[in-house]
Amino acid sequence: MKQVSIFVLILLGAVLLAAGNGLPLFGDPHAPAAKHVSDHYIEHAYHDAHTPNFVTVMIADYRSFDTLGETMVVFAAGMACLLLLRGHVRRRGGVVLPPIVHRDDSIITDLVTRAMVPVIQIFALYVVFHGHYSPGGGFQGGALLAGSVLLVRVVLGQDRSNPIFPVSWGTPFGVAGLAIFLGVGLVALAFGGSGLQYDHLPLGLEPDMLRNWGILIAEIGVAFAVMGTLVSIFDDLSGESGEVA
Amino acid sequence: MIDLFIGRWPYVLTVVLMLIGLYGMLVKENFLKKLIGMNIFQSAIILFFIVHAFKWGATVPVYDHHLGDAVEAYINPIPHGLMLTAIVVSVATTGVGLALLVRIYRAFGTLEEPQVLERMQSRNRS
Amino acid sequence: MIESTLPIGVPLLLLGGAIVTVGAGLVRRSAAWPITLVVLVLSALVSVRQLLVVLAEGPLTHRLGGWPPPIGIEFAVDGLSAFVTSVVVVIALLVLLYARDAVRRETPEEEVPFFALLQVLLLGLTGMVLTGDLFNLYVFFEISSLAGYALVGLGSREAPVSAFRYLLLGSLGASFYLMGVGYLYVLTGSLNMADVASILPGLIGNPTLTIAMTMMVAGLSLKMALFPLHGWLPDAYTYASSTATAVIAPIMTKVSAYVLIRVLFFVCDPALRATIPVGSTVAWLAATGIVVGSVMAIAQSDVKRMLAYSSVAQVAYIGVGIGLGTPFALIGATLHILSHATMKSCLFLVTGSVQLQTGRRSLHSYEGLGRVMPWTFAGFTLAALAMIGIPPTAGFFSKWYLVLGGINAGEWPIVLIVVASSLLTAGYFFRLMEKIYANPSPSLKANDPGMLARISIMALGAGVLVLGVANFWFVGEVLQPALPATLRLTGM
Repeated sequence: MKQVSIFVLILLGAVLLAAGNGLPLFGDPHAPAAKHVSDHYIEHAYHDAHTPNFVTVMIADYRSFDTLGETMVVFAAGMACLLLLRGHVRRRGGVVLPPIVHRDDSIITDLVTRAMVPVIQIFALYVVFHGHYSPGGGFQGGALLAGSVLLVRVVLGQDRSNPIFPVSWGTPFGVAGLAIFLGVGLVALAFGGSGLQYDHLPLGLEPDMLRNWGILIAEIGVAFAVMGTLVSIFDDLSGESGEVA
Repeated sequence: MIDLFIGRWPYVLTVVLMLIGLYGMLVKENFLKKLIGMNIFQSAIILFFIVHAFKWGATVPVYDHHLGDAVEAYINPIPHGLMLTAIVVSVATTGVGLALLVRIYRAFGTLEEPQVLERMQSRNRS
Repeated sequence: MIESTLPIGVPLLLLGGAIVTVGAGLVRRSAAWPITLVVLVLSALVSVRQLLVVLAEGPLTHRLGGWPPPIGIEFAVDGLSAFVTSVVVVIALLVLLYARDAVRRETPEEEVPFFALLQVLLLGLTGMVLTGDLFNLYVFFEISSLAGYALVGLGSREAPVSAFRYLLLGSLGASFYLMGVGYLYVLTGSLNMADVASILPGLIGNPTLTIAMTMMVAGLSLKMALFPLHGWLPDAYTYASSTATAVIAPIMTKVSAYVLIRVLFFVCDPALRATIPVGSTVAWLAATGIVVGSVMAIAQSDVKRMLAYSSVAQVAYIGVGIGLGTPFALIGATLHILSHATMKSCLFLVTGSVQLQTGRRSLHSYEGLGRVMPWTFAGFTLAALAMIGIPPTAGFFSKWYLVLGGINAGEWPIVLIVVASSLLTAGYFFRLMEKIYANPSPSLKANDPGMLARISIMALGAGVLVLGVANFWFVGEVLQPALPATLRLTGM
């Protein structure tokens, strides 16, 4: 079996290297990928949405349906973990896993966590809200927010992290985030645009500023959804959700 | 062929990374290692896209008033945006994979493929 | 305005439905099934309306964000995609009728995430069908896959193991597809299917293009469980819960087959296809798959596993049609998408009902069940006859067109395999029939399942017959206009 696998690998490697010969040279500014659609994004993104970060405009406006789909992927993963683990913990026995969360009363980890969590959260908000101007956006900010909650979970333990972000909040956050994103899209649709066409939002601004706001609302939705879902996945994996929920 | 290694060396590196990931998925017997192999494989594809976003002499795709709309001044934003989505997909897949592994471990007490299969068989027979 | 929102109607309904299901499920768990039912009924109405509009007025498009392609993502519906969407949604609706009682008994605590994921799965599948963008298709591909892994993982003790293998192989398939899209993007600079299709002819002769198409076909074949990439399927279907199998088995592989048709016949033009030897390879592998799947099905003693292997064979029929690529063969492939979806969901619903009522799974334990569950097994018998390909059921006509397509292409060995495989199929179904209608042992206690489940089984069974009888209308009115102009039959 192992020999077969290695043979397959060598074959695939040869095929992939052969494919390399037809590709454009590394860093070629005139490659097809760097022309066509890419040109249009670079030339128009700033003027279309009043947002300097082309990548943000692309993912949250030009190709916003990809991002809605991406949020849906995260949500689906959250639901999948819920489906596979949450009820299961309560119902059946089986082999018991060692706990992920150690209730270790070390003053150093305790203090460092308390000092770091606010900083992480403020940085996360910066990443979400400054995503128009610098690398960042909903997913990265949401992941950081989730990270801050997970740090509290791991270090301070379930009892002391629960008042900060209860286990039961994960799913509602995910649902709320998705609803915000979908809501913007549907409002635009209801006011005569296409789905997710932010310049039809009824806010009484110029089209480019409307898109700017639409992108921001979408990113906030993504941040909520990602934060809630990642925390809920962690809770399901660590088995904490079963005891509380 | 020599052109491939001089002009397109980052592509060759992504192929190598891809093969490492696939090796992990096919040859390793521990389910967790297979999952890690899958992650490496997906990362290789992400890098493949990112490599093709690069342009010599260009900067990050954030609008700069000194540069204006000059197309050749910014690298291609599309692969970056696409891969943001692909990264999220890879995170989500890993999460579901881990959830399944937790279930497997609870049921069989191990993550080694041969042992899991053996325990599946013996239970079916009894 | 209503017409222009039709293409995104079904995915948005399902997306909203999943959110509402989870939101309402936080308050009241039993709300999940009714909400899903409402959402699916609405989706079915939208998809049928969409099909009628498309047939009357031609393709519809919806530009998300208002951006014209290739700048933005476009949802494009033509006859074929409207047809496949309707198949997906209507079959899922019928299975949902069965699902209420089954899910309550099999997985009572997971009702809310189960129905939410069911809608997510359908969202992914309909999105794959309707989108006109190669990368957007990948996103929906992964949405449906993730929901699929989770639904397959919920079942017997062994289910997580088969689901985990499915996850590894499924991600591998998706990654291959993504890699293929990456090559196409690097070569063309575009991701919109129509735009890529217009650029590709200028690139004929580039070796990378051949490899790109091969990788996309390999990735999709993995997802479609086309021989020899079918390894994940039998275990996944066998161990999953009955509702999950009844949804996933008929629909998921078919949607991948649809995407394969989309990529090979809509993105590639004929001149390009001639330079890529994918078609004949797919046809021959699929023909082998028919034989292997059927023989393996005969060797099984577990009914569910037998049906799973028969799925491998049946999907291979679609693969043969796609691989041959002649007009008749493509009609056979698309018609088989519908007929196999109908009959396989019916068969899996019946095995699910039997398992719920009696806990029986093996071939021998089916003895006499036909006498005590008459309605259920009437549907089962109809579907089984269609699987074998007895006229006038739907299964006969799709094979008929495949055979015609094979004759047109001059691939006599494949024609022979398609015809001979009916005998193999008959082999394993008649063996089962004999048991089912034998005299029951007095200890056998079972009766037909509840009203809703009976309706869905009977509707699917009747559907097999209706589709068979109405197939000429169907092929002429729906499938013919849906195929690319170069692949239409002339003079029909």
